[in-house]
Amino acid sequence: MNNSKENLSYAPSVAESIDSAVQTQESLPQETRRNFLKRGVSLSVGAAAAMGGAMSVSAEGFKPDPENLPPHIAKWGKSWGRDANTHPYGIPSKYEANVVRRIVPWLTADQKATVVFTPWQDIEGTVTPNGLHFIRTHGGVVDINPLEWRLMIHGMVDRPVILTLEDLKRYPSVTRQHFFSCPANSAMESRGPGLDSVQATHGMLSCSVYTGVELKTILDDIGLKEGAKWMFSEGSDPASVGRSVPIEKVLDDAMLVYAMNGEALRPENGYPVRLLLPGWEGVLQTKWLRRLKFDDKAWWVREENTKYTELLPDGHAKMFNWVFESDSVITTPCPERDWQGMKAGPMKIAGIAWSGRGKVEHVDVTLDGGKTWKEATITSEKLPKSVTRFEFFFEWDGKPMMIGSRSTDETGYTQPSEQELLEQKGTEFIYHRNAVQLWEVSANGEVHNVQIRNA
Amino acid sequence: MSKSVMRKSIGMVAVAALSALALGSSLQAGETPAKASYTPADPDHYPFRGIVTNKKGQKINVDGAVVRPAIEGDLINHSPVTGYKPHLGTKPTQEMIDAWNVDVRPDGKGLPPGKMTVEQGSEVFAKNCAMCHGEFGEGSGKNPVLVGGQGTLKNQAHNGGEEGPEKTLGSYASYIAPYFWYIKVAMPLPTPKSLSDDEVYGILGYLLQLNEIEVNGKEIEDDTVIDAAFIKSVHLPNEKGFEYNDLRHPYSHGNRCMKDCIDPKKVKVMHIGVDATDSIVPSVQVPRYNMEEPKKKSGGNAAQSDYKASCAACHDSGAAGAPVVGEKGDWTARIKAGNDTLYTHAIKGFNGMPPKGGAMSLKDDQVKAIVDYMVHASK
Repeated sequence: MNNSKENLSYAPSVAESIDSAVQTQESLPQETRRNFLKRGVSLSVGAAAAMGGAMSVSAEGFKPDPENLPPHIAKWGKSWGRDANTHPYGIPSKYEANVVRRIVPWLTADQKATVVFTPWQDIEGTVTPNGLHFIRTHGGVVDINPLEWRLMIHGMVDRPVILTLEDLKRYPSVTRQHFFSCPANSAMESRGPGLDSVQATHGMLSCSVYTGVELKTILDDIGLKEGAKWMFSEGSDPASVGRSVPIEKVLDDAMLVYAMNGEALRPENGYPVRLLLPGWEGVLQTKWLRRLKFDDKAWWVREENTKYTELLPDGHAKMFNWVFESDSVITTPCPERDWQGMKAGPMKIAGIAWSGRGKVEHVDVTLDGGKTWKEATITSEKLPKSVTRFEFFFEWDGKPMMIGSRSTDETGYTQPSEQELLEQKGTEFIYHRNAVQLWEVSANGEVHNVQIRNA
Repeated sequence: MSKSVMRKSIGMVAVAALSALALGSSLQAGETPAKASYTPADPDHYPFRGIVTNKKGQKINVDGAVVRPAIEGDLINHSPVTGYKPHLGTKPTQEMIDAWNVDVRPDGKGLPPGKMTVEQGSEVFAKNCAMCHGEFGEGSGKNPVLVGGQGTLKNQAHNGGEEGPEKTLGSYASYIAPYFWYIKVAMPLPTPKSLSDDEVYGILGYLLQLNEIEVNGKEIEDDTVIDAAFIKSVHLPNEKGFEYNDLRHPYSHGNRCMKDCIDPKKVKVMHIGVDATDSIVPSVQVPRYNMEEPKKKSGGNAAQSDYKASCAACHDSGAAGAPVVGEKGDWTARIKAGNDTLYTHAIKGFNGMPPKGGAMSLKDDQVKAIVDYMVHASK
């Protein structure tokens, strides 16, 4: 990756992303690109550092040793293993070292205001391990001493307070599983298929079991004044991202969370406390929270009146888009985990579906680019505002296919096709792009990102 | 030529260049689209209040989401404990509240005392903002452009073939007052919360002048004083360009069609025209159990990655007059000045460059290593 002027894109817009991609591609020698793919392997300095030298396994190390296969007795069963507490925190098997978050280097000008993607091609079940949760930052990641963390709640409340983390943890807690997403998830695809990777197209999405205190519990204690219609949340970090939240959401299921998946929030996700608004745009769910203020009108801050608005073809834009419509994607197979080497026969397609409006009710799968659809099986609990798993079983004849998934949530909302979304929103809306993701599976098992639109 | 005229004429060139990129749109600044089939959002009134019942009998919240009935044992929407009043926390002093209570609403509520002229504001901007946004708000590298873009909002770019909309303060934003809070707490990106209230007023005034916003029918002059009253009287061209999204009635959606949903003869399959995959690091298409040994990180690489993280934004592009790494001409004289001088400038700041480029978390030795790397790469 060279660092030419062209690659220095902050990429607030799709236009810039695509332009940069073109330029990046043109700057890479053809031979390099092909080798890159053929070799099937490439580790960046960054990824290598993330994995750590001790974690590395050479290609040779993956080659199965016949002496470890039946009828032999595997050698790992014939001598002591390493000390149980060798890794006091615990790390994945060294054979899983390629399961990491990744960046798209040309996307942003720097690595402070940027995004890091979750590898859905390697995630099983519904919960994202904390180290793989996607990261979106506007001013870098900060480390806060929990003893220095303070939350001020003021404005139209009876009793303004400053809470410490210890205070917060003395309130009754709840533990709930919810998906978490950036509204720009999949945004690079509006003008045509862009990225040949499920990690890059759908990796601004994660799902965790959160623990924290419902905001209504705290408001019970401090008292909300009549006429308070909006809450302003503000971070303490360099970007101090703030947003306006209507009181209906605050009193429904908003939480102040301090833990995810059983441990303290990671710094990248807002340690020690972030706002959680289940089903809503990640940018509203302020990390490194320092202040909540209640008032009678909204703030129309930059992030809700210019950024994170949907610009439509007639030149006007939708604002306060908040909630994620029903969405889904096939993660098996996908460009990263394709079916090369697979033979025709019984196959399983698997993926994830989610909706900010409630439970996922149905997921349908197409094998012919959207002409015909069949209902898939939901294989996880149907939790509201959570990632839900689906699987679809069929007999593959070994011929090329165009596969995709389409979710319908409990309100009856169905995810649109590319063409439907194009007609309804044009190409410049950027956010909340939930079109059906199609993968083209060729006869040799390669999988690529494609779209179908009216000719 | 007065400074103001000069600044404006150069600013105009930048704006003209940006406008030239606009294709297929006749929308002018200040106009709502010809077919205004929408209701402009009103900051004083949000229309989709309360909880309603839909056709399926579900309780629906303002966001269109199902509000689940509180059922014992079902913790979704059911609070295990209610009405608990332990009176936790301490009361903040007025001083504490005032120090943090810096948000500003579109009606100007929250704007603090303070003032600055546009002339002074342009100097503050040159010193603190131009390194990324350009001297006249035209952007640098690909950092956000703050000026121009009027007439581009209807642009629809398909597959990278056409220019898309240019969304700036002048073309897209609707109210200026909330930007006071934004600039005050979040800018400049590397050293936020360092500007005084006076300076933020000055910057806002300069940005309004660059965007040729008229206030009360008058152009903004160099000696115009920007304060809370002035900001409250500003109306931006795209003030009526937004509509609240009625999330209870999603304006985009699909249909649960099960067969003969498309006519294969009437559609086209689009493949990736811009093969961006290879720029993802590491490559996709990685067989799960097949990987190479990562290369060991050398000292040089650490400086290089620090450089990329903290310095490249300006030193790759030449923003704010920064010497471009790899451009020998930019470095000959500097290398002659000697490493000690370069170290001092890098650590303590020099001209448009803030101390350590704003990356205050870097240790002095790390900064020196970055300088060594930059010099080495530019010889």
